[in-house]
Amino acid sequence: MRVTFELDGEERTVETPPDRSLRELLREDCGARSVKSGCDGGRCGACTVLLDGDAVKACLVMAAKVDGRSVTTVEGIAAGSLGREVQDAFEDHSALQCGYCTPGFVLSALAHLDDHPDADREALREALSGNVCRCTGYETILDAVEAVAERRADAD
Amino acid sequence: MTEVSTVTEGAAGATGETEADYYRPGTVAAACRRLRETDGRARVVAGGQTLMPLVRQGLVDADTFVDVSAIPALSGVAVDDDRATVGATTTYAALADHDLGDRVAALGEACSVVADRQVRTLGTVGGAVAHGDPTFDLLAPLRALDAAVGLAGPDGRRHLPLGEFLVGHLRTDRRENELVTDVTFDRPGPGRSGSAYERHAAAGSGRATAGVAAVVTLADGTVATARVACSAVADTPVRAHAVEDALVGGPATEGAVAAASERVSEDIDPIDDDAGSADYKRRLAGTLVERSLLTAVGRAGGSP
Repeated sequence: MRVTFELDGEERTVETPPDRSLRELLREDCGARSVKSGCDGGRCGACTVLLDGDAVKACLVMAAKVDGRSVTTVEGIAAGSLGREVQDAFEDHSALQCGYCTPGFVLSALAHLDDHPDADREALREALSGNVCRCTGYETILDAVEAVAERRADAD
Repeated sequence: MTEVSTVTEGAAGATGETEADYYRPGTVAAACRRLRETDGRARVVAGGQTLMPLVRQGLVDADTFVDVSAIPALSGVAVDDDRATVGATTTYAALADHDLGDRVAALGEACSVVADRQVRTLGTVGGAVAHGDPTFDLLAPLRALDAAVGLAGPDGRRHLPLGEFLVGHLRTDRRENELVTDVTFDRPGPGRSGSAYERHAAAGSGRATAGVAAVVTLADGTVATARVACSAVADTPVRAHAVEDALVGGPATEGAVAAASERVSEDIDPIDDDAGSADYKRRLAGTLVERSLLTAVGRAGGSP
């Protein structure tokens, strides 16, 4: 079937079997290599993208469902946005080592902070529980995201 | 209502080995028509959070997918004075955010612990019910609320108690050309009622090792009604009738709850698996029954 959707602000039309995963569609047909392939079974969160603004695991989304919708990867995060602020905080707090899980974490954090700008550390820990990191032990990731939440709270 | 109908042509990709048809009907009637026409060869898709891993493992033998997520009538929560209806495509996230999730705490609590944020964004109530996996958190509170499942099929609509619908592990009473449309239940009366869901899951696992939902009503410090249901410790999410019988008519005290909770082993039949031994799960279930009952009694205005 043919699906037409917006990928990082650009309209794309792709022929795909309907029951393929969105993760495959994005990486293999659209060249979106920031969408990482990890467990491919919904456990690791490395393929997390924003679907109409909400964080979802691309490996658990049937390709057919993307028709008419909007997908944002970490490459589509605009300068000056909350997402860019999260990315900068990851750098400031050394919240990554190998970096494989980082796009997923940034997008999950962005989605949660969008809904709950003043989330505390425990809420963030829960919000990020769908993303696995095998390097950092999570604490520096939480430091980074918490710093963004605190800055946002102070700014209010 | 528009009906999208597409047929795949050409070579399939890495996973789309079945060159399946995909339909996204706009009405329940159109969805049922597709299910009837495909005569058991179709799979219903809502959020896809359970279905996609099965597709990827080659465990789904279907040549048609009927995506019900664009059917407005299947989505949302309706509450009147005493009855609540939750549409099949209502997501965990939506139900957790709805007032009903606050007023019936066990529901909100169960929806909030399912898997993770991403899965709760897309996973649906109807999917949880239709898949019939006894480890799914939401099924315990629905059983404790004595919920009924709504189904639409070629012969019209029917409702049956969730306890009758869930007939075994991953087995339900849904016929091949039927669609789960909603779950309904009586909203526990205000004031003297309370509910809670308590579960334990191993770190790193989104799946319950055991979970218990309790719904109680009190009258003058006495337990007037009690319904307790357990996930992940039997073929289906089972009611703990022995616990309920031990409580009803007695005082809503800590001692009475502790004594009643021990009787949960009479109604459950856990198995040894990766999540833990049967013996461990029996003891865990007793602890979770006690915790959920004490919280529910507290919320009902009692002081156990």
